[in-house]
Amino acid sequence: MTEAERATDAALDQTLIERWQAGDQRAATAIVERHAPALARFALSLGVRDALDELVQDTFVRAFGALDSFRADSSLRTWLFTIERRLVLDRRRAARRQPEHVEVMPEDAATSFHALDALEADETAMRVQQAMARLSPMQREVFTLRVQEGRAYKEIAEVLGTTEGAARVHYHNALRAVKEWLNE
Amino acid sequence: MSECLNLDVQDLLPEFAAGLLPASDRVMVEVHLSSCPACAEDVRLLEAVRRTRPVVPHIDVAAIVAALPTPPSAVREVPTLRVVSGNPAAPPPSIVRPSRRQDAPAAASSRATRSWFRGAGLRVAAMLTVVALGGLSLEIARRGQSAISDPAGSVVLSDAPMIVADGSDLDTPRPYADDVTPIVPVVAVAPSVLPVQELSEYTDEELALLLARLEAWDGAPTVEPDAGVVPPSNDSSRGDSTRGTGESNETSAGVAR
Repeated sequence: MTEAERATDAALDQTLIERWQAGDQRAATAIVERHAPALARFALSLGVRDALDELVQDTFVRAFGALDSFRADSSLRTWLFTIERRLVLDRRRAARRQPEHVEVMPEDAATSFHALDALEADETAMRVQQAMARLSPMQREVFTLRVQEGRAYKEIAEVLGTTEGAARVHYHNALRAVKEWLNE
Repeated sequence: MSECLNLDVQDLLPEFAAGLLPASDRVMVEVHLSSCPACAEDVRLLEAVRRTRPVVPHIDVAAIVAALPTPPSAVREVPTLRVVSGNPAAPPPSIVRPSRRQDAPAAASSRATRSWFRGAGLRVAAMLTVVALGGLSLEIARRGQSAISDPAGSVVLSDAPMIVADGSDLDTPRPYADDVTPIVPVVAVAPSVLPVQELSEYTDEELALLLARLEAWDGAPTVEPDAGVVPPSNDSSRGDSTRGTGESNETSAGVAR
């Protein structure tokens, strides 16, 4: 995503926020339609399997309840990713049944990632999913946000609560690891 | 395959694989890829990773929007309690009488409100009247005590004005403390024909006149004098109403019973 596209998206999000704050409920619908799919994908990449709708809804509810604190120095989507990730971590801590380290099993990818149904002949895609499942959670999150969501390192750092340099290192390590596993 | 050392291009590869690069950057990357097998392999891998983006299940946008909090402006517009009397859009009743058919509920409400205020006003007025009359009675009683206990036998009147229920200023002195009404006009008392003095000081003519009056006096008046008119020949009421004023030619207040 180019800087111009990011600026355009940010301006549109800001306009929608202001319209919603002025009482326009249609702006809320537009915001949800713009970002809900990305939030669902990110949740899946975090290993969320159950209550995906509820997680996305809770993310929006929490975000809209704190829109006054939203600063336009980061994009709305990045902010939403940050909220959603915190919700996922909070739920895992609360549940205590699910370990902090979530392994994305290949069979989970085969069932959850419906795109694989259309890519049955694409053995490379299947192997990519298996390789990504072997990444550490941090590497997988960085890799997913960078490749599948097109987030910049700065935004990834905001979502994950790390530095831009660390996010860059995690990305390159993840890419190298996936390539090595694919070449095994 | 050797590693690529061009980190600037490597940072652009995810966007290039996603087709998100602007034209200028895209051309620059394509030129680099034509001579860098390592980056070309990375691009193929990244394209495969992007194709494996999970398919998002159906998201119920309406349900999410319904669960969202109320916009701040909507919260500010929540109606608050306020007193509404009648139809706020209608002109004041004193200017235009509202239509009985169209504004019947509003008019009824207005009438009820006015009736309530009128009733409350009457209750307040009645209460004030009772309080004022009570206070007046106490004052009258107090003055009565003063009049009775006055050793000189004169009515002692306060200089403070008296206010009664009707709001009138009753600053006029009232000689009879035990009778508020009616207020009788001042009775002019004629001076005595004969000044009071020792019998030895009277002349023979004066003593003869006194004896004649004494013989004619039967002890009680037979005719009530008219208010404001005192017969010069009847001085029986002098002692009651003009006590202490017999030696003066000035008038004093008196009340006919």
